[in-house]
Amino acid sequence: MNRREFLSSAAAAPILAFVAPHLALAAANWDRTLILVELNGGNDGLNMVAPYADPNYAKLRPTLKLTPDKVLQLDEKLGLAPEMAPLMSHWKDKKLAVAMGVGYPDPNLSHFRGIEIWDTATDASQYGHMGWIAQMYQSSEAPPSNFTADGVVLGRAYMGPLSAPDRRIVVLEKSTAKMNQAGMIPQTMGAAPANAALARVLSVQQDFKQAAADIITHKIDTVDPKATFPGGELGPQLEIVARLLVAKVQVPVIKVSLGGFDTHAGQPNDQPRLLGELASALDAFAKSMKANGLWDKVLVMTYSEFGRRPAENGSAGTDHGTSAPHFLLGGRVKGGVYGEQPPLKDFADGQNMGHRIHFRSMYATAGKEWMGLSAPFLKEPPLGAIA
Amino acid sequence: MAIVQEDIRHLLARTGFGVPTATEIEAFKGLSYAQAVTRVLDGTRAKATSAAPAWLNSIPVTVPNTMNAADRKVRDKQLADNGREMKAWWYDEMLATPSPFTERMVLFWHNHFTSSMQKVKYPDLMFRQNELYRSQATGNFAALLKAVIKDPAMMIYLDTNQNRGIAPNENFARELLELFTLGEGHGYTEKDIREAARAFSGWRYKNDVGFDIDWPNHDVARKTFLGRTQFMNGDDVVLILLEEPRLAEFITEKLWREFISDTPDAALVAKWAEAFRTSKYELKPLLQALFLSDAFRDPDGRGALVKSPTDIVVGTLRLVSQRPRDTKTVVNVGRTLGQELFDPPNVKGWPGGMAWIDTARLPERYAFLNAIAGAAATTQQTITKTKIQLNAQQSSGAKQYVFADADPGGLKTLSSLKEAELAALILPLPPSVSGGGPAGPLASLLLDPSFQLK
Repeated sequence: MNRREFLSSAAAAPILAFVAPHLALAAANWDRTLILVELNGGNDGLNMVAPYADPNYAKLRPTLKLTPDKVLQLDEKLGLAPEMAPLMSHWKDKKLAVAMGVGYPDPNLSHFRGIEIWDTATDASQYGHMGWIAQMYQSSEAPPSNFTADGVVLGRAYMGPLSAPDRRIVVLEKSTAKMNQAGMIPQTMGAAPANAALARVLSVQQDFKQAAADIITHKIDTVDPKATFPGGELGPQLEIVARLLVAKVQVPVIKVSLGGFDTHAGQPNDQPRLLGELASALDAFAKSMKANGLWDKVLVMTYSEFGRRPAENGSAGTDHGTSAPHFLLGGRVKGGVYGEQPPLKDFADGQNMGHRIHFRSMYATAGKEWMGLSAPFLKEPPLGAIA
Repeated sequence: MAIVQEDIRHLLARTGFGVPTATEIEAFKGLSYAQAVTRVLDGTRAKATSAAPAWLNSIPVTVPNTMNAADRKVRDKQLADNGREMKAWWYDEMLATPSPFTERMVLFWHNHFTSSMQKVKYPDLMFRQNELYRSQATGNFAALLKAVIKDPAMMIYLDTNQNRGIAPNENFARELLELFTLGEGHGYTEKDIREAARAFSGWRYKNDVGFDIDWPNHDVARKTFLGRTQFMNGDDVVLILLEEPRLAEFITEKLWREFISDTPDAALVAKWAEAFRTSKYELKPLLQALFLSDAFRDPDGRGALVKSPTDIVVGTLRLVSQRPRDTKTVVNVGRTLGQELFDPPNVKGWPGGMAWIDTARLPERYAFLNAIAGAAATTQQTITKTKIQLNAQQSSGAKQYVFADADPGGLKTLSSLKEAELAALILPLPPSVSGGGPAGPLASLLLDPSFQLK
């Protein structure tokens, strides 16, 4: 029996509720989609959501600081970078949540290891191989077997939170042309072979062929996203997301990515442009979802391997740091500021901020509150940010 | 071509890159199985066949504090370029070597005693580590372990350089026990890790000097490690570890998973491990026992292992006797398939086995094989250059590999074989898809699901 057969027979056989009560109790919300936005390189949170009124901020950022007259004020303490103006209508609409100081204890400052900790939702001292979304599917329930895929990856071909050997994850990168790879994979028939390795190859390639056929059938190029997406890196990815959803391709989690945040030098040339790209692409996506009646069915969440050093360095940049603010955006988000800016005082050069919200609280918000899955490994409580 | 002797084919596939070449089969013609094992072991090398990269030693492994940002940028770019060339260099060696088994063992040690360019940043040091792994590839494990603890790349990768007496950095000590010698949860405590970290405190790699002890930062006090209390430095920690029976079992078990199956037999592992320890950690007798065992030769175990991305890339190119014009394109294929040499994902290395196959990577494996199959289909005569262009419709972006024919007769010989002969040579199991397609048997067998296995 393969996984799909198992799941469908589990659904048809209530007796299984006694052996696996979590299957019966879980009330997963498979009518909606989580969109993960990876800000690759370590985004400087202090210049995205600036504590503009804090004199320590101005001291730590003598040349890079965003001044009170420039920021888009969220309240009397915090303001968005001016390039993020396209997000302000969603803020005023109370559909944008800003989680402050998102991080974890004993933070790791390597890109590689940092993102691995975020992706696998482990403590800094532990090594995991399975992405947190995949772990959630395992500890709670897997997406319905008639879904096109368990997850889709756009942008950089890196599965991260979705990574797990036995999940149906489709990597599209930049276009659905990738699905045509299915054509070169041979069709096989008949019962699963006794050889476990061969059985695995056959089942994975069948999963991929099926997902590819599904996506091709939905003709996403012909639907109308009813919004104009900006060019660049992220806009085209979010347009594909919009098209997948408008075409009713059923996928519970989609990951997109925007790179270039590793701003060690010349940050004023790069980060404002990236933040502008992020804001305008998210705004276009929100407009598309609203116009298609899907706004209540999507939750967007940003994440990044780390924030950056509070004190700017000598080359108009910032080095690797720790915690940073992140966004939740969607029709059912309860907008506002969550947590607080970790205190900036007493920072000698080279020191880093503590965190206020564990990143697993963000994940619990997305996984438990939004998707309705259970996930014991997400030990920290959700934010209560979903209506 | 010789009739393929099935067990020797299996031996060459498992000890090489997943599939033997017709030439290798020819070379082993007439040998008994035991003689074939001996020949594989005797053929191993302690040095690469390829010349060392030209850039080696061209950039000092020191950044002067006075270096300005612009010069530093130039230097960093050069280091990154050299790193890419080093990755290509290893593929070239794997493609050229007369002893694929040597390179498989170098890769085994690279995946065991992991280090990565991502963190180490100096290709010179990573290259020297690669040479170290080759020098003891099938030599002596104790000698290898004693060298690894002082290997500069390792000392950077696991922060031995940051380990100072007052505030010991436990990174290396933890992985030494958890990943390199005993295995997680096997007979040591958190306290043993802390004590071992103290023993390595003050050890450093100094650019102009090499290995060196920074005495003011070395904790000279007595330590208690695995039940022994004595004056102790890093060398002593290793000597104590080498007396632990679990160490030999851990390595033996890992070799079983590498060469035999995902399910080691505890009794056999214990028996071989005992002999391994008694031999003072000689690797060849252990490997010989592995390859001569019924478990390795079990006909039901054919195709039980999933080929690694390196097997797919190197094994297939060796099979069709093609060499990339620019090996860096092949480095990119390895990355796409999930195995970038010199850059394992983390200190645990590549998880491997079934984890190689997922819905993202499997299509990419087929895309690469399809490109090779396309070349095979159009090549019926001697060629000097094969240009393989993946149709943009078939893959993400236009991926182009340019290969040169390394052995003008090789591909022609393969292409002339009948389907049954060819299947017996290149597949570990009977084909899953019956009937050769219009592109001929070679193209269709390369795309057979069982070509993913070894």
